[in-house]
Amino acid sequence: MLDLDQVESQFRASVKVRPKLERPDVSSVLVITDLDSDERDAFLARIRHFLKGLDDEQLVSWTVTGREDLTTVRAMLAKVEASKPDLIVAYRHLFEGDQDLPHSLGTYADMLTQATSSPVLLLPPPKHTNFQRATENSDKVLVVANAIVGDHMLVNWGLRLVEKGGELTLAHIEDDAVFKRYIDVIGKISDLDTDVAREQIEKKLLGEADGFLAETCERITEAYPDVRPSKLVRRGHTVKEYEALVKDGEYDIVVFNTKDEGQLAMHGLAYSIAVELIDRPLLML
Amino acid sequence: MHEVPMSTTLLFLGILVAMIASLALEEKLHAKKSIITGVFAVICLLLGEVMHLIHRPEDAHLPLYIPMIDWSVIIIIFGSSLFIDVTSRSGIFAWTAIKLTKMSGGDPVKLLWYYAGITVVFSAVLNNVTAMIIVGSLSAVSLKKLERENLLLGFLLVEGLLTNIGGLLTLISSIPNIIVGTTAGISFVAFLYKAAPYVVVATVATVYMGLRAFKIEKLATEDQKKNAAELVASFDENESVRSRPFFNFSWTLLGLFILGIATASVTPYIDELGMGFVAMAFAVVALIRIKHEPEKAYVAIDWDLLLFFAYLFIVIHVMEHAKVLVLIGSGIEALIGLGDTAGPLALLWSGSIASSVTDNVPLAAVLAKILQGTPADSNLWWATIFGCNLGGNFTPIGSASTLVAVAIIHKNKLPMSFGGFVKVAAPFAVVQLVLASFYVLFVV
Repeated sequence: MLDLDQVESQFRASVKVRPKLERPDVSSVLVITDLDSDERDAFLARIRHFLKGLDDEQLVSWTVTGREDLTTVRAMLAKVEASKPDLIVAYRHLFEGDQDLPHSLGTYADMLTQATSSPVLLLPPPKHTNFQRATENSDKVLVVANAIVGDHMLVNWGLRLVEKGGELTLAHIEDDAVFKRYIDVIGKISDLDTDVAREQIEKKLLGEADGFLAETCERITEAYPDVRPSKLVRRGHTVKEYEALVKDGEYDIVVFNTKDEGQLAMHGLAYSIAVELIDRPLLML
Repeated sequence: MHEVPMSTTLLFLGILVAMIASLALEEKLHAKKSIITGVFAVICLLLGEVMHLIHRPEDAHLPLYIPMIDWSVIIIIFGSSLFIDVTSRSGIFAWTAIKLTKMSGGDPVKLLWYYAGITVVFSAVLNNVTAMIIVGSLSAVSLKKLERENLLLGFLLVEGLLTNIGGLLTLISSIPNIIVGTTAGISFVAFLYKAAPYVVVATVATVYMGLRAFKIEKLATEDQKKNAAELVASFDENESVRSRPFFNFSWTLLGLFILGIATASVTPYIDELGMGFVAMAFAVVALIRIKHEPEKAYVAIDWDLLLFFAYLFIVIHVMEHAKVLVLIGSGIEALIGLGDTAGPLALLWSGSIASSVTDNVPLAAVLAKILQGTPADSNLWWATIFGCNLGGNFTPIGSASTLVAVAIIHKNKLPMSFGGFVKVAAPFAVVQLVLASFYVLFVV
């Protein structure tokens, strides 16, 4: 005799999330700096060189702010609110003396990522030793998320920023610690077979992500032949794995989600990535 | 036949009534059918032995209660259940249901017609409970995906009502069919030939009424159609297919199974072995596909159902010896004696009312015993079959499949009381019974 819940699970599993590919419209970019006016043009030129994929695609209006425009965090947020840019470009430790502090974004950057709805591309500070190298090219983009299935926006932003002929990697790493925690709990429930649960949960978790990313790669190849997509799905220590991946793969931009539904504060994994990967441009959605 | 005092007959009649009442109150008693009938079988056997009602045949070498069980019925149910369980693991039924969902393009009217069709076919080929679980679950998932949860109640009720229509299609589609049909000596093909036109007409009438009663309408605009089509396109029918060779094997075997059952009575050698043999033989062949883990299929067998039948046959056998069936039969004879028109109609309607509040299997078993000896082409058999199957549509406790429908309704947090079900379902059941009355009198 069939079990009602088993049959429902089977049907729920048959509902697949299909990728919806569409490069987002980026017609206005707000570049927030704490630079003096004589340094700003060079900085903007560097950013436009770095994000040449944006200008290739459509006419973009670039606005750059400097030290005298934004004296307080509130003034910065008001400026963002007034201009409603499609993309904000900023860097860590804005308006701070020490721009080399690890494990922090700085107050201004922190507020930008949490209190605005526009995506924020966060760069290393201009005086950081890695700034020039980090803003050289955008031909290797990594899209990161633990809940990538169905998150079309992440993939689409990756597509928008990657240069023509560039490489777009879609990564999904299931957190080993969370997985282990649940399996440990299942191991203490006599009604559930631990081995079956371990095998089935891992298969489903990785299988869903793998299926979605494989289909997304296929669709990208069809619709955007100037982009070379690839996927990576595995289990591991998420922050360490992503850190290693970014460094080994020499990615130019890392795209990830920072907000959970119903809250503005950056969620755990996003914050960890944001403060660990200090020498890479990060697109925070 | 030995003489039995009326007081003894009345005592056993009381036991029978108590058992039927207990089965009707199964949910309240928190006891499964097999436990209820098991207890009454033990009481009947003990009392029957003490009162010298049961006589062991002199050459019998088995415990006397073993031959009381109608093993041909048990083995058909056992073999078919095993066969269906194994083949359903291949995903063929889920695949079909999802394929039809996608073919509907997400249009609610088309979706209801398609789901109605598979409910009837699955009820006929599998059994009505399995059909309700498959189609009801898919309805919940697909309507949620289509953002049409407001239609779910209507879909589930129509599907629940159609399981009992589909259960009329073949000789093995429902337990009353198996019991009454085999007692009457109706072949599989003859049964299908006579029942199919009614099933088609009753299905159309039920769906048509459902569309109107639950205000299920076609999608109006091109945008709505496009959006719905995109949503149902996200279903992947192949998700339920674990192995393509197993999937193809199961389709082939299912086709052969239906053919084997249909031709069992006319195939040399097989006609002697019977439908139970065919069901068991196919179950064994299907099990070869999962030969390393057959216990998974054995565990899935509904042992409660099988033991319920076994105990029920014992109870009815003792009732026969206690002359209870003769007593009930005299009442039935009075009904039948109302004439060629009123007799079958009285049997049909009283049977449906009785089966609306209690299990239709004891009713079918008792009526089959009483009607034994009636010619196979008599419309009294069909009045019994229609009454036992359709009565389940009056109340949520009238059949196991309507109980499943209500369970899915409640699982999806939709309001449905006992009275609410009767209020909505009764017009459908009345129309189905009016159609059946016409059919019994003028067609079969």
